[in-house]
Amino acid sequence: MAVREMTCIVCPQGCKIKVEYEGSEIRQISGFTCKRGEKYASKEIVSPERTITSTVAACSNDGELTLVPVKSDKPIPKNKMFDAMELINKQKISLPVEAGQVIVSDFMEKGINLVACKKII
Amino acid sequence: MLYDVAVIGGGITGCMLLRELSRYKLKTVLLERSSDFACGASKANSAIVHAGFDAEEGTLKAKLNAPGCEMMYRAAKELDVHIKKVGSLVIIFSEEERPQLEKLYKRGITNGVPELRIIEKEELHKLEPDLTDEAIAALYAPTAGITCPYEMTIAAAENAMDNGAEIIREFEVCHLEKTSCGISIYDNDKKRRIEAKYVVNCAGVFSEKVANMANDTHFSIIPNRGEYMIGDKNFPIKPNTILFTLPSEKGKGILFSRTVDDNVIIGPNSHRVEDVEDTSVTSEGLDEILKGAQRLMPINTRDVITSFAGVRPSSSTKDFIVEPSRNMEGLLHAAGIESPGFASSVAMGKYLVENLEKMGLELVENPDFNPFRKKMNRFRDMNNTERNAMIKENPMYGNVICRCEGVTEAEIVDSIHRNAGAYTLDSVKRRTRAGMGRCQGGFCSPKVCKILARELNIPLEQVTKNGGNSYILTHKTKE
Amino acid sequence: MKKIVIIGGGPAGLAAACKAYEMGTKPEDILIIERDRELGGILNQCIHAGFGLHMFGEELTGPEYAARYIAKVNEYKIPYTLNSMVVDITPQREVSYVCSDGLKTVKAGAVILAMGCRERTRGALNIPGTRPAGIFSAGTAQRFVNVEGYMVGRKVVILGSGDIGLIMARRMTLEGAKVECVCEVMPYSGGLARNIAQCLDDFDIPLYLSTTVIDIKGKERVEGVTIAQVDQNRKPIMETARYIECDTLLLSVGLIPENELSKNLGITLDRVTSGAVVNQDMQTSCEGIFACGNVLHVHDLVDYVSEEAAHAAESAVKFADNVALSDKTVNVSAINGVRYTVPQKIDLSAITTENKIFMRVDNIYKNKYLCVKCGDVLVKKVKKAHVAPGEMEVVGFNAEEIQLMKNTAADITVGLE
Repeated sequence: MAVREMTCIVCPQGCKIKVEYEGSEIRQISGFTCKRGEKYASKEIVSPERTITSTVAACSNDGELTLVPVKSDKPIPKNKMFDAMELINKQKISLPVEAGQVIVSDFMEKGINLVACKKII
Repeated sequence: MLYDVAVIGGGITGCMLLRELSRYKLKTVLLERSSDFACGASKANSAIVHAGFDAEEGTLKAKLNAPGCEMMYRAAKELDVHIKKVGSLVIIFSEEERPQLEKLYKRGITNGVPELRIIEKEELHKLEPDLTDEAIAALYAPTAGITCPYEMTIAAAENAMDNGAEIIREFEVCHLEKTSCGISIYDNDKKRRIEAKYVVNCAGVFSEKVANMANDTHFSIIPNRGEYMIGDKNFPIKPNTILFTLPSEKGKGILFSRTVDDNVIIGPNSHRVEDVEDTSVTSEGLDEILKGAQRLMPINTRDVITSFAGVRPSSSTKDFIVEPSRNMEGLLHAAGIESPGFASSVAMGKYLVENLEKMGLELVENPDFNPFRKKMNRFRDMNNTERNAMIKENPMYGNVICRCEGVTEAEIVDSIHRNAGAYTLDSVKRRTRAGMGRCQGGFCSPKVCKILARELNIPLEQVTKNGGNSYILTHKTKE
Repeated sequence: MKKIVIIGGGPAGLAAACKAYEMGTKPEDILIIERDRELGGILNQCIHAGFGLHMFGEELTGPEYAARYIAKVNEYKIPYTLNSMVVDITPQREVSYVCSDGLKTVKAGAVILAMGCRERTRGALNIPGTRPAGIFSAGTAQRFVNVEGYMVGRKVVILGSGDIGLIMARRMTLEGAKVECVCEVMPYSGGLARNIAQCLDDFDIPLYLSTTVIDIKGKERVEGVTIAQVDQNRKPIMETARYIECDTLLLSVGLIPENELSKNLGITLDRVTSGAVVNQDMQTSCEGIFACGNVLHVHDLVDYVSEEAAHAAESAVKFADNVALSDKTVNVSAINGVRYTVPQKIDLSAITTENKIFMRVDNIYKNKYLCVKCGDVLVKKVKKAHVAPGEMEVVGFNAEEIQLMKNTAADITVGLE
């Protein structure tokens, strides 16, 4: 059986969680102080994931380059972070853009969208 | 093209000489290796106009300092550079030190320093209430002052250009060659050549290197580093005058002074370094100057905003060296110009012109010479009526870029487009003070970079901190 | 004449404006003065997620968090002026600012200071070495990368483990830079534990505690830095020195409330927080001038900034409406491991269960009690399993505890035991 200690990242409290597991089977989780933390800990063993945030280049009418902050609307697999960045950096969108506007659908995984975080006219 | 005079080095000596030369009908050029003026010892020093009691009697330093001090005030007026005659105090802390103080006093009288006197404890503490109680007497020189050395240097360069002088920056002199009509000067890859009838070596810490290019090897430059700290405008204790501890073999002693911009300056120490460009600061050095200054007033480093170091071009003769080359006709050396080189610089400019005349340079007065230069408008120094008028005339005055120092977009644009103007982040900073405040450019440097790119019409990645390879940004995140 | 003038359109200023409106102030009686080209302040460059969990129950990015308040400001039709820099505030509450239309002066019923903070610089640390290009404060680098779209370097060393530094370690890595390490002179990190996990551990970036940069090499651009471990007195241990090649040094060594305007105004400042001394109404020593957010003390969560700003706005509106605010105050002092408290003054006759005391500790402590005493009387004792300087602590009071303090009517101390 394996034991892993981790810092929970779901909120600023940063609880220290201990997970005992065998393969992808969780035996025991301790140290969490909320349901989300417990879920995070098991997910972290089985298939860790992260929300990714970055920027996408946007062109306004007068041709000036602006950056639009973007995020994945759901966490993506942790090991796909750099692939995600590559795809993000290839995007070029035109203004205006609305907050929540989908920039890439099925981003890295089916059902996940890359969305704009800010309205820019 | 053949110039009459080429000046090597855009420090205070070179720029004051260039301005002095522009009083005459001459074709002149100044060659500077950096992207800006005053990048060596002229930038990193105590910013003091010394009264003239330090230099040993009979030396060239003594001859030029005291009269140069008065000339400096006049030049500052013409060039519209901020200067304040605050006076200086050399403080002693025990009776054992008194003979040294008296020696300095006598020397000052011989050198012609006006109004010089020794004051005792009561008067001293009235002048400087925050002095430590151990301070018992001082040499008071009311003619000493504070100014901004790089502002003075830049103003001299600008005024010289206004009067027709040429300046080439990022030209590093690497080779000199005697020609039939003068001297050819080459830069590092021999791509550029400048020819002049007379050449003046004002290369500061590099003056030995330049002398060697003419096979003059009879003097050497001993680089001596001095470290400094700058305190916030809100520094809890600020002296009214310039405070010195007693000078030693190595220098004038540690000083603690207010600056013209109302910060405080602490330093320097003096340490021999191998590399003439070694302007690094050390924690031991900063400790040393702090301890020295703490003898004067009870200060700490809490409100220190930055530290820096300068390298003095001390000469093997311990005096300023002004003499024609022994091996290359037409070349004049002005070397070893360390303290009081700044205070002496106006007098030095005139002295060098006299020397050039002796060497055969023909001087015909330039009737169009205008000694006056108007400083940049400073938004922070204006009252509200003036501010409103300025913004109405140019809305860029309403865009404050540097919030710590209150510098507006209009001032930054002006600093770029003036004669001898700025084309790097540091040179904008020196001219406008944008980035010199408490946040040290944290907020304004991205904005200043963008203004530079826009005004110079270059990509943002090509904006540098101070020329050469001092790039700020590497590449765009999204291509 | 405006009833409420708010200096700063970042999270504190926005929340204050919204609250002032919600209390019944007419929108035209409010003015937000913002120096940048848009509202939102530093949140605009904080494109990472992690904001708003406490306030909105979800994790938002900085721009999204700001947008929630900006939407309200627009909905309420609260006026604001952009690219406008306040240059002077008088004790009579005349606020002067410059913008491209000229210099304007507006008289305020009450002023709310919400100017935020700035980063500590290299100079404040006196790091030895040369001064080449390539040394950035983490926030400046963040602006270049996230707003301007330019990378500041390819090989990076970060000094200081403040949250912005940690966030930038991840950001620079994702954008293709190699972050060699993060050095922290203290034996503990200055940032949140979760940021160490998700910004450093995720990318195998080492965090060296009790380590600092002792030398910077490079004439034109940074060529490398020398790092070394430090002893208990934070003096470098030279035997541990090693050179790391890099072209960039990022500094994340702390934030300082930006109180230049407050200083000129003559407001009493707290030497520890570098912010104003305030009472529980968030009123400064200058009547009718209130402070909130990072200009008052540096927060680690924006949610608390918004909360504090709303509280300041509530008091400011009352003041402008001539509702009596607290006046007879006792001092609140930080002792025994607590570095500071905000507020620093409390009027015991006016304190309610809404009032809270915020504080930071001076070191990492385990299994301590946070004790609030009124004179010699112990009012409150809270068990703390773990406290750290990087994480703000807060205590509130129930009716019983308030009654006890009212009865005792003495100065308050907050400390660890």
